[in-house]
Amino acid sequence: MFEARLGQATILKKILDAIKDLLNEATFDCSDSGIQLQAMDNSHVSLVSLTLRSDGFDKFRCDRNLSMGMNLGSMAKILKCANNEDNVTMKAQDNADTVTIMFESANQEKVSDYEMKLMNLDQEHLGIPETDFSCVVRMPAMEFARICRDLSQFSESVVICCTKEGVKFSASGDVGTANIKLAQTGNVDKEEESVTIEMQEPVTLTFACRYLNAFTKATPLSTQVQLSMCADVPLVVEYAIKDLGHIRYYLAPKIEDNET
Amino acid sequence: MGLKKALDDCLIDFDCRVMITDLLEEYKLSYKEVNDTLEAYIKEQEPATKFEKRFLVHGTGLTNGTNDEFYTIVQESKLEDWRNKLRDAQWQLYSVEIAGGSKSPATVFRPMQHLEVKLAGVKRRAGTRIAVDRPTNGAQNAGPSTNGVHKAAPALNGGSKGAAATNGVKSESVKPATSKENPETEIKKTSPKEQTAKGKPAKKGSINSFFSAAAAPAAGSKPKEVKATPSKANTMDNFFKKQPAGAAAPAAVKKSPESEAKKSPPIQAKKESTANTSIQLFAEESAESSDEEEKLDKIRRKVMASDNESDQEKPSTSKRRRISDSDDDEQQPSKKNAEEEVVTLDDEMETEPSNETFLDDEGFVITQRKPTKQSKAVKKKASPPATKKNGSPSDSAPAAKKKSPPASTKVSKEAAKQKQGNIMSFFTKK
Repeated sequence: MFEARLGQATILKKILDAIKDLLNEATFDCSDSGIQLQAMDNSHVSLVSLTLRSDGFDKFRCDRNLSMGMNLGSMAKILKCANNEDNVTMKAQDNADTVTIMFESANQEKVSDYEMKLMNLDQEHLGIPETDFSCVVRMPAMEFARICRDLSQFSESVVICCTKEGVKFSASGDVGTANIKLAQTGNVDKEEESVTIEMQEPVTLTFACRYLNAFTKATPLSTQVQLSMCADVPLVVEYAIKDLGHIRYYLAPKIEDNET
Repeated sequence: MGLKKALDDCLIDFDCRVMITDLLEEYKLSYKEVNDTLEAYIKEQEPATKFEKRFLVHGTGLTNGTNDEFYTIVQESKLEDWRNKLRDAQWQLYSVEIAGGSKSPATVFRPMQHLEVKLAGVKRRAGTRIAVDRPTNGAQNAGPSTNGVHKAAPALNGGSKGAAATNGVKSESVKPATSKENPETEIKKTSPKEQTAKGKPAKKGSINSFFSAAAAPAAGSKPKEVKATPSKANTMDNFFKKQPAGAAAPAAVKKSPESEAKKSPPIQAKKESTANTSIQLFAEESAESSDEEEKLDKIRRKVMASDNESDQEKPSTSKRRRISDSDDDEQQPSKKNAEEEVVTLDDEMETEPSNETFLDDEGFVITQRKPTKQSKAVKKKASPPATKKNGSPSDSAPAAKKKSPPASTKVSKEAAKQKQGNIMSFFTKK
């Protein structure tokens, strides 16, 4: 038996919004430690890793490890039926082929449940090695989303160059070139508006704007985003989900094509 | 519904100002038709109801010596003054309202949005009888080329004969002797070309119409010519046409041939002088022999058979195609020439010691500012830019210096040189 209850449906909605553009289907791996999801996008360029800790749920019960393959579009449709303030409960029997998602209004006057068919997804899990990143940038998630959106108008690719002075996002295309530099903020009263850079050595990597823009769908989940970079290693874009876990996106950098 | 019927049914509210332009648009009639119908109606009503008329007055200059062209809308009471003030004064009924009956501040001036155009040359064609949706009130204008906007009698020099001179519309009646055809047949027999011409204003949303109007030398130059010439021919016509910037130009183009043929020899001469215009084509068509017409009809039928579009548009588009094709032909070669020029330029530049330009494997133009010629391989070395940027910022700077090709080329080159990595190559399967 699996049952997980969240106080606010809006969190689950945001999570779904954050991943459904990249993934059509995914497997939620439920264990007593929580719910985990790992999946690559169709083109195998990026990888999404979602962790929802069991202690972040209002109620969490997982008697046996359970993998629930879900169509994320369908799940998003169901979640749209919930009010933001509703309690949401996911329930599934062991070896069941359906999951029940139940919404309860705050005053318990309205209870609605939706049953969704589960899928058998043959997904391969990837081992993600621990990496000492050369640069770790923390910045406002909104700012990052804005930068990605703006630069994607100039080019398909964005170059992220991280130095001690700051981080520079640049793109150049037929229109021209765009450079956005962010310096480390000094004393910032509001932590969520700060830009911090932890740098071992400078890094310059090129990434596809398209994926970065897809990652920024997670912006509503967190005020800050963390970009971890290292030469010849995928970029890690991490959004923390307060008191619940995190969502991490891994994006393979663009590399020099030696064949030409 | 015809204007006459609307008037009879009291559907037109003369308490508010009724503008001729509105009627022209709404009832798709010629100016003469509207004017005649309206005048007749006013005459009928006049004893009981007093109407206040406004006239559009045009003159080429004030009598004090300035040569400015004047268009103005004046009340009937002031018409006499203006006629005396302006040289070559022409005037036409512009708006009517019940005297003292305006309920709300009425629009004083509203330009035409659409223009009804009758083409002269195409109408004469026999066998292409297409029903016209508007009623023939019998008072059809003999000059089919316009939307009924008439000139005042050209003899009105000085405007001093105001009392003797009739309304511009009436003065038109001086001319009908020149029109060889029965006005009724002229109205009913409309060639597909004409219909397209009518259809044109409806198509105004299309960007093509704007471009063609702007690009066509005839369309662009025509109104200007008219304005520039002191001759009063067509000036009043153009007033109605000039108002809607978009709609007027093409209409003016189409309207002109016959009206000019009939009314103003000097302008016709001008038209003849304008080369390569659609006007000319139409004018030529009107003079075409019956054999040619048959050929055209055949072409038309072919086009109609081949295309699903309405037969109203089709023939004219086929006709137009000829024009646009010719334009395309003119443009495309120029493009090709441009490309060729680039290539030839490149060849020339290659011979120069300072710059070396060539097309690389992918078809990009690469310019290398080096005195010595280098092989493509060398240039390829210079070209992978972004990847070098990836290495370290310090590396990227010299790499950029090495590269001399234009930015866009560089960018696309960079894009081509970079490959999106696969996430699988960084992580291992569990």
